[in-house]
Amino acid sequence: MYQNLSSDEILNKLAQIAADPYERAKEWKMETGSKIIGCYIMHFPEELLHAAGVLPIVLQVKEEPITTGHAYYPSYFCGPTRSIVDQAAKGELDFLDGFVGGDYCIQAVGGAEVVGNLLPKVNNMFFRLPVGNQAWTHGDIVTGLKELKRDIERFAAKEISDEEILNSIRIYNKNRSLIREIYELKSVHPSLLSSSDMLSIIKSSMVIPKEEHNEILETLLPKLQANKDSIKEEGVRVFLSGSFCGAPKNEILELVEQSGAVVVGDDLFHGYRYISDNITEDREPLAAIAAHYIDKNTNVPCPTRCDPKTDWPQYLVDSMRKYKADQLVIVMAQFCEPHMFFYPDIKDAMQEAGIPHLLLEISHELDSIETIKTRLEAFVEMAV
Amino acid sequence: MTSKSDGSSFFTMGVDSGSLTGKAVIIDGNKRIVSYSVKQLGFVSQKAVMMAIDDALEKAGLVLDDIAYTVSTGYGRKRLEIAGKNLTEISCHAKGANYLFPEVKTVIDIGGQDSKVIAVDPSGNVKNFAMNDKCAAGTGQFLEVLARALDVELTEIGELSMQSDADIKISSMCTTFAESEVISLVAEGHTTVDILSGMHKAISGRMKGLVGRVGLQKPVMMTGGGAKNIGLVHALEKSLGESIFIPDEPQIIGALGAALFANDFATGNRKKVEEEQDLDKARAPAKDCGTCSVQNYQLNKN
Ligand code: SF4
Repeated sequence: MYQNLSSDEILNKLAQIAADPYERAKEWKMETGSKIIGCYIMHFPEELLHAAGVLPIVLQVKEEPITTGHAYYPSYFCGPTRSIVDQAAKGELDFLDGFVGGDYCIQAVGGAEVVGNLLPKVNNMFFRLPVGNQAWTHGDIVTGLKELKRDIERFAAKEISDEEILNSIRIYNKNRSLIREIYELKSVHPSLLSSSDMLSIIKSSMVIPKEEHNEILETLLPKLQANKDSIKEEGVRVFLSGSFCGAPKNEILELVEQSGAVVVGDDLFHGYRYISDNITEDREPLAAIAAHYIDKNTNVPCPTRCDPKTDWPQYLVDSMRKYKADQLVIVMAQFCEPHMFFYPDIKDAMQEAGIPHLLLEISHELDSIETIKTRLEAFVEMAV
Repeated sequence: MTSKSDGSSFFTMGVDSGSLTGKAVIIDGNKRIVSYSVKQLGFVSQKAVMMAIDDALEKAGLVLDDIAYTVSTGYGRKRLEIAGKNLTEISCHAKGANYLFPEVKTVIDIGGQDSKVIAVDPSGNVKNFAMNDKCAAGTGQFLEVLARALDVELTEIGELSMQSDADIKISSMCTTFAESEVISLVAEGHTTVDILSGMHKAISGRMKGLVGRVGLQKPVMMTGGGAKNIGLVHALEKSLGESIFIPDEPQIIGALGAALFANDFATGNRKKVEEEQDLDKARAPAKDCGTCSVQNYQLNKN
């Protein structure tokens, strides 16, 4: 159905899906009569949920101001957790049949508790994902996966076979591979698609059936490849980092590009972090998923994973060189503890490597866009 | 003032369309200031900007067509149609400060809506900067609101506050809360001069934090409308433990920097907008090319 559309038209469709992230899932539910599980937000084994015949979606932060949710979650918690609580409080998540929370960050744990209380009819599950990278970590993650599998089987009233998990892994691997191909293209031809386009690709992947998304990407990719030579490359090369559970606002991404920069790479969860690596298909599936958690964190370290064998600041220095980036823009969700904890080390590493960086601490309500604009422009002017 | 007839006949202009004032500076081909003007007329007023431009042109005995290139800066920088290019206040203050005082390493700009601390290199380029990013606290606006609450003219608060040796603390940095704090201080019987001095201390405390984010490097220059407030300058010198250099006309430094950039653009010393577009070609490849998939991808494709 996308075959006759141009790449821009396809990207527009994906942007529409991303802007209204739960609509396709609701339609799918009507069409199939199957169940939807919302994931809150990072690091969930979506493959395992998919294998049970349900549709896992990654709940998305909404840019609208938090209103009803204020009564349930304090304003000094991060925007992403507050936004999901707000959606639940406003009844916007009533379409969910199941909900999985995680313990990767204390604010996410608290938020999941509150959402659980606000959605009494929704089956509330929990994924225990052990942190670290010790000899026992892999086995521990497998145990966490088995616990979740048990709960999902009860929820879906069916047993999940290894074959089904493997099949889901294949579908998800395909999606990750396709998005990585687009990333490769963008890193070489950064103006081929904007960072908002890239964000729409990832966001839409998180909220519609992966099979459908794969089809769209298979149509989009050759069209992008065909366009690449007609693109004029321009701008200061910027690498974008941070912004864990909530995608950076489109407004901020547009400001980066309007300031005269092009985004050549990122480590965003709504970005490269989500698709950096595939899951091995020739291993017992739960063991393979557990290994994937450790491996993908080596590719793109996440501060919530507390892995002593990875070094996020060094990864950023290496990425700057790998992508030939001139400058680093860090987008930090206000009150995001894991990020704040690492920032001083990142700052030191950047100073030592002589890499200019700009920290933008973004509050959910985005109170000072004019200041952000001036800071971004002045930062880009430094490189010109 | 020199006019067209007794000097160079090549002119560029910098226009700073600030949040509360419009400023214009005209320089000649030898980068000497020919004329300048500062006009105040309310928020980001196009009218004040146009008045400043007309005034500067008139003082120089020039018309707009005599100006080879104009660069705009400040909040309203994007809206000035006569400008060939617009640049942020941060780049322009650094450039202007460096022109007046080439040794300067730190520029503190307290403007109407925001405050900035800029680390400047010996060529006048921005090395690093910090900007108050949350609210009006520590800005000209903060002082204006509080001066109004105390029924004092903004231009008087500096001198007045110097008369105080009291130690009044204004703890709230939110302009609205600070206003009610000031009202309670008045009700408690504190004098206006003591409260003004407390306000300046509050702002300098806040600025010290901002300076800390960039790192204090001597010598320090203060620019923007805030630098005309002697009470604030003294409070800041005290909290930083450093003397601060104040140019004769601190409000025009941004416009001066813009005029200097305009000269660079007009004379080709700096790339024009079109030439800046293709930066990629000028860039050296990354050091560890051998292991880099992107690099190899690029090489294979070429
Ligand atoms: S990791 Fe950061 S953004 Fe995510 S839930 Fe925790 S505090 Fe919020």
